[in-house]
Amino acid sequence: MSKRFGGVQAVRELDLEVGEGEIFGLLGPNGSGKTTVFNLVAGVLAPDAGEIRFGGVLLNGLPPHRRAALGVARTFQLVRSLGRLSVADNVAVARLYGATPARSVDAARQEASQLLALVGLAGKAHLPAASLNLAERRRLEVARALATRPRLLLLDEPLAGLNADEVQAEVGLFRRLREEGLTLVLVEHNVPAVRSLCDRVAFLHAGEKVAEGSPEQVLSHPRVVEVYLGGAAG
Amino acid sequence: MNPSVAAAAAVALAAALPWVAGDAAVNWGLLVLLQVTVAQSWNLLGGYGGQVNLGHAAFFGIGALVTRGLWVQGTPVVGALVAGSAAAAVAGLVVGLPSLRLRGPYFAIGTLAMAEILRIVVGTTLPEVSALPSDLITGYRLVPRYYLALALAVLSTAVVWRVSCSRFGMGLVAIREDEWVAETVGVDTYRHKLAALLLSAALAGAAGGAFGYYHLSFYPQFVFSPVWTFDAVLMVFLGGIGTVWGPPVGATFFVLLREALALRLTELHVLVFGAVFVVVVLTLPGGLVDVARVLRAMRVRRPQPA
Ligand SMILES: Nc1ncnc2c1ncn2[C@@H]1O[C@H](COP(=O)(O)OP(=O)(O)OP(=O)(O)O)[C@@H](O)[C@H]1O
Ligand SMILES: [Mg+2]
Repeated sequence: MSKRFGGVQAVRELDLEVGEGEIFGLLGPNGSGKTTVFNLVAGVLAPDAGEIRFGGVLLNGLPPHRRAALGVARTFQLVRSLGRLSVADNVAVARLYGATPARSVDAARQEASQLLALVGLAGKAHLPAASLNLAERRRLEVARALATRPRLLLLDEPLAGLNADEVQAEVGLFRRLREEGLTLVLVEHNVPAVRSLCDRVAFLHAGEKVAEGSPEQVLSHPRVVEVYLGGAAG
Repeated sequence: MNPSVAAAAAVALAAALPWVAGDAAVNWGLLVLLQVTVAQSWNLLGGYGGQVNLGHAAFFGIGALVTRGLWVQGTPVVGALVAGSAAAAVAGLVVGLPSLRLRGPYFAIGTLAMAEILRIVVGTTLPEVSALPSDLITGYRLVPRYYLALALAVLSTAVVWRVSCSRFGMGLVAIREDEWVAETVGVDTYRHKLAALLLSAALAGAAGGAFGYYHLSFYPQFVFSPVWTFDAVLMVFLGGIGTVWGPPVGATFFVLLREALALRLTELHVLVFGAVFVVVVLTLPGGLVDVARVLRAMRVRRPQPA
C-alpha cells in the first residue's frame, strides 16, 4: 500500500503480513510512516494504492466503525479520551460497540470495571478521563481498545511516557493478550521491550520497508543500524 | 430530593395548574412547557451529540405552519401535529444528509442557512397574518392547548432521559467528546448524528405544531424567527447542557424572567439575556441544575469556625 500527503510520500509500496496470534513490531525513526500505516489499517485514511486485507476480508473503503466491528482496534499515539466522561464510561462505550457488543449499558459498565482492573485503573474509574495523567491515559487507551473485543490490536507507542514498573506491567499484559489469541501490532521505540515481546518486526524508513524478520535480525541489519545511528532518532 | 420524585411532583403541579389558576397563569405555563420541548429538542442533538444546530427555528416553523394549515382545513389536531412533526423531520434529513457527513462547522452553517432561507421564502410567499377562522375562534379553549404542551414537554423530557441512559446515548456522547475515538471504537457516527437530528427535528416540529394550534394570529414568518433558535440555546445553557433536567429548569427560569421583565423589544431581550447568559456560563458552567452540587462543594471547602 501507498499513501502520499502533498509532497510527502508517507508510505511507499509497503507490503506487510502479520500472522494470527503474532506480536509484530513496527519500527522506524520519526516520520517514517508508522502511524500512517495504522491509520490506513484502521480506516482513518484511505490508501492511494494497494489493498488491506484482514482475515480474508478486503478492508478498503470500509469506514473505521465497520473495521472495529470486524475486530480491528487501535490506540492513539497522541492519546485521546472522552474527556468529560468517567474513565469507566470511556471503556463502557467501547464495550457497547466494537466487534461483540455487551447486551446492555449495565453489562458494559460491569465489564468495563473488569477491564480497568486489568490495566490497573480500577481506582480511577469514577474520575473524569481528562483528570488522568499521560501514563494513565495510555493504559485507558489500551482498556478502551480491548473493550471492543478485537482480534487485531494496533498499539501506537503504548509504552511512551511510562516508568519502568509500568512498562513491565504493560509488557506482561500484552503477553497475556497474545496467549488469549489476540494479534498485536506494536509501534514502539523502546528497544528492550520490542526485543522481549515481538515475534517479528519490520523497520520502516521514509515510508519504505528496510528490513523484516526477528528482532535480532532486524536490529542488527546494517541499514537499520545506519539509520538509527545517523538519524539519532528513536 | 430524588430527581424522579421531583419530576413527578413538577408534572403533578403542572397538571393541576388549570384548576387552581386563572387564564393568565395557564397561558404563562403553556409558554414554559412549549419552551421545555424546544429546549429539550435542541439539547438532544446539541447537548448529547455535540452538533450545533443554529437553525432550530426552521423545524419549529415547519411544524407550526404544516400543523396549523392542516388543522384549519379540518384535520384532527393530533393528526395535523404528527404531520407537522414529520415534515420537520424530513427537513432535518434534507439538511443533515449532506452536512453531517463532514466534520467541522458544516452542520452549523447548513442549519443556519436553511432557517434563514425558509424565513425569507415564507416571508415573501405568505406575507399575510395567519388568523384563525371565526368558527375555530368560537370553539377556542386554552386548557386543551395547555395539556397538549404539557404532554409534549413530558414526552420530550422522557425521550431525552431514555436516550441518556441507552447505548445510543452513550454513542452520542462519545461523538460529542471525540468523534474519531467514537468512530474507532465502532460507533457509526454518521447514523447516530442523523438519528439524533431526526428525533430533535420531530420534537421541535411538534412544539411548533402546538404553537400553531395555540396562537390566535401570527405572521407565518414569525415562527421561523432566529429568536426560537437562540432562546433554545440560551435555555439549554442556562439550565445545564447535556443533562435531562437542565432544559426544563432553564425554560422555566427563562420564561419567568422574560415575563417578569416584560421585555417585549427583541433587541433589549437579547441584551439582557446575553448578560444573564454570560454570568451563568461563567459562574456555573454546568448550568442551574449544577447549583446544588456547587453549593455542597462550597460548604465542604469553607473553613470551620474555631
Ligand atoms: N494527516 C497528515 N497530513 C499530512 N501529512 C501527514 C499526515 N500524517 C502524517 N503525515 C506525514 O507523513 C509522514 C509520516 O508520518 P507518521 O506519523 O506516519 O510517522 P511515524 O512513523 O508515526 O512517526 P513518529 O515516530 O514521529 O510517530 C511524516 O512526514 C508526516 O509529517
Ligand atoms: Mg507515529
